[in-house]
Amino acid sequence: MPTGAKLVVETLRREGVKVVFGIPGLSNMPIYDELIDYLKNEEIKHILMRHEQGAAHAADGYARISGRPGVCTATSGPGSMNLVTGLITAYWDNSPVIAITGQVSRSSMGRKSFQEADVVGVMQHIAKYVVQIREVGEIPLWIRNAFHIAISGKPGPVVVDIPRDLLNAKINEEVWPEEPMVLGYKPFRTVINPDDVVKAAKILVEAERPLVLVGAGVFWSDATEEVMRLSELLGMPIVSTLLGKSAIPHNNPLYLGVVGYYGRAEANNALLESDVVLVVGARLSDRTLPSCNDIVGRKIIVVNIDPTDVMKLPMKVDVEIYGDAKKVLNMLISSVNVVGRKVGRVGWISRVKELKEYYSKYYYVDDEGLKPWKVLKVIRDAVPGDSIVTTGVGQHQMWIASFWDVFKPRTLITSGGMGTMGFGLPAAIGAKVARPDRAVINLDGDGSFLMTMNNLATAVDFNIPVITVVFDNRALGLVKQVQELFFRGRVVGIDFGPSTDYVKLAEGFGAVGYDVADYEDLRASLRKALNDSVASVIRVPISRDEFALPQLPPGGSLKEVILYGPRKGY
Amino acid sequence: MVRGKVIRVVCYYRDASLLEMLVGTFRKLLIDISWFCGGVVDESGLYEVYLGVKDSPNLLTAILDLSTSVSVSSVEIFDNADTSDYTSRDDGITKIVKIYISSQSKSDCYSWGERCG
Repeated sequence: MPTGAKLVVETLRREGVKVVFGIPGLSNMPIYDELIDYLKNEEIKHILMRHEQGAAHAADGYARISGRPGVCTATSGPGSMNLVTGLITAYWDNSPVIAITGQVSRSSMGRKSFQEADVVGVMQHIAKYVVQIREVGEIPLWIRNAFHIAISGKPGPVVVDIPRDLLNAKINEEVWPEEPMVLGYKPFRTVINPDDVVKAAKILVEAERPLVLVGAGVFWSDATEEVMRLSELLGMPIVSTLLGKSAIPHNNPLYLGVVGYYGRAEANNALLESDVVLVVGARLSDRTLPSCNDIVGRKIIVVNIDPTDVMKLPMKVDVEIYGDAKKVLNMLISSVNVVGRKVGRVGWISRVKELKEYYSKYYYVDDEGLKPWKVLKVIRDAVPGDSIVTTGVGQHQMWIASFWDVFKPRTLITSGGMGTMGFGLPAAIGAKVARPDRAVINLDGDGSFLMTMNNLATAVDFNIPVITVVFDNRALGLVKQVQELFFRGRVVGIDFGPSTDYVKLAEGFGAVGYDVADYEDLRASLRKALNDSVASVIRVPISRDEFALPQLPPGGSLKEVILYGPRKGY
Repeated sequence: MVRGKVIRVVCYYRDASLLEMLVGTFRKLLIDISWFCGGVVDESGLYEVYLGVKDSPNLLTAILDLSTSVSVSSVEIFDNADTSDYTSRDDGITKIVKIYISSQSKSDCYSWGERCG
């Protein structure tokens, strides 16, 4: 007679799960007990993280790179509560993560029992769905349902909370559901009105200065080729959100960069100067479009899987097409071919090139010390084109938004919506597990890295050779920047001091540490780290005075882009 | 007589977290709920909830969020719906009965991104 725990593990296997990121504890221990056979048979791998937040980020990183749900597990109480930051990060960025949490036995509930926490109460607003198991027999159905909910429609994390007594309970006959069944759940449908497609095609063909804004929806629907074909067909420059950046190879001459709060000035300006904007798979968050007034007055076409994203927009949309980006764009391409093309948009294309060249002089300043843009260029040149890059959150993330070149789709993952510091290293571990054949580099800030660097031990123990590059300015640099620019220079609470030795820290975990002094050092360290294929940390000293620019003032318009800091002389 | 918007939510009950989620969707957007009633409709777990909510700039967002929450089948909005409280005393106990006066003023219905009904 199988136990509830056996049903959990067997259902995971039937769902095609190859790896679980987690930490065992009292309430999920029955699951681990059943997992032993699957580990021995090498059907499922377990990666022991050093904090549950890291487990959720690792599952998230795995999901974003593989396109399949990432699975994590934690025990009740502190274990499950530690997942919270990781799960909301996945929720905000629509990443399919499954969290299996052990819960205290039903007879112990409500007594402030040891490691009791109300998982459903805490998590139901930070996940796509949370379900607490009531009977042992329903475990297979609800784990199956969890996968269905996580991956369908707009993806997101799902939590399955299972009381320990149900994990230990035995059942006479297990029933494996053939199909998921979730009452009151309807994944968004792709129902395309051909008239809307033709209308959109006509608007795009007639446009003088069309622009396509690419969001994470393109990433999730693998619609990179379609975006590029449409862009080429129409002579239409491309800008992206931060998450959409990963969908477009940057050697495409029509790609201008990330738009928005920390966007490239030329991308923001192109958006301001466009007369038609095609928004694909982006919800136009406050980070992408701090002021909606910036795009009022031009024609807007939106392609989105979730109609409510469009219904929430405080602006008029001329054509709304709801559905999977890949399908919609293929129809749009066919329709543009039928409607006919306007020959060339030479003036518009040369204008965006002019913008690109004009703003370059503000970006690529090379004076004393290691410059973030140049550090990124050195790294880009040193690592394979299909390397996967993860980031933390802070100034370094903004430098990456502006200056990292993505060559292959789905090779940059970052916490966009939630802006979660500490995302980089555990996400890199998940990414490397998903794609062991690729180099995986976590480009991190010192503040961000220190939040989850304990997972370096996991990378070493499991021989997951991720490379972390720490942009070390001994400060919470982005906070400092905001204080300098918008709090009258009253800098407070951001200094780290000289205490942390990143080489020793890496070595303490059994990883390899490098301290670089110049660009050549950096090249050499990267070469060695890639060749040695062991977990490593490369510390790159960055001046505390560096700013992450361009940026907008809080709540500002795209017109108000700040190109240089108060200490620059030009 | 209190005039306000009435929201009808058709959803599926698995456990009481359904009601927490439903109320929380309004709470987290700073929308007050004047009254609330509902119950199980059939054995499948179909559940019907009526809420009286005060107007808010966030109301449409809350309704759209709710209409795309797992377990929720549809959300209907009734404009200018009227409610009245009738008070009676019976055996020393004051009973308040809230009457929703249907005025056939349904303004919209949302279900997973689609307008319905």
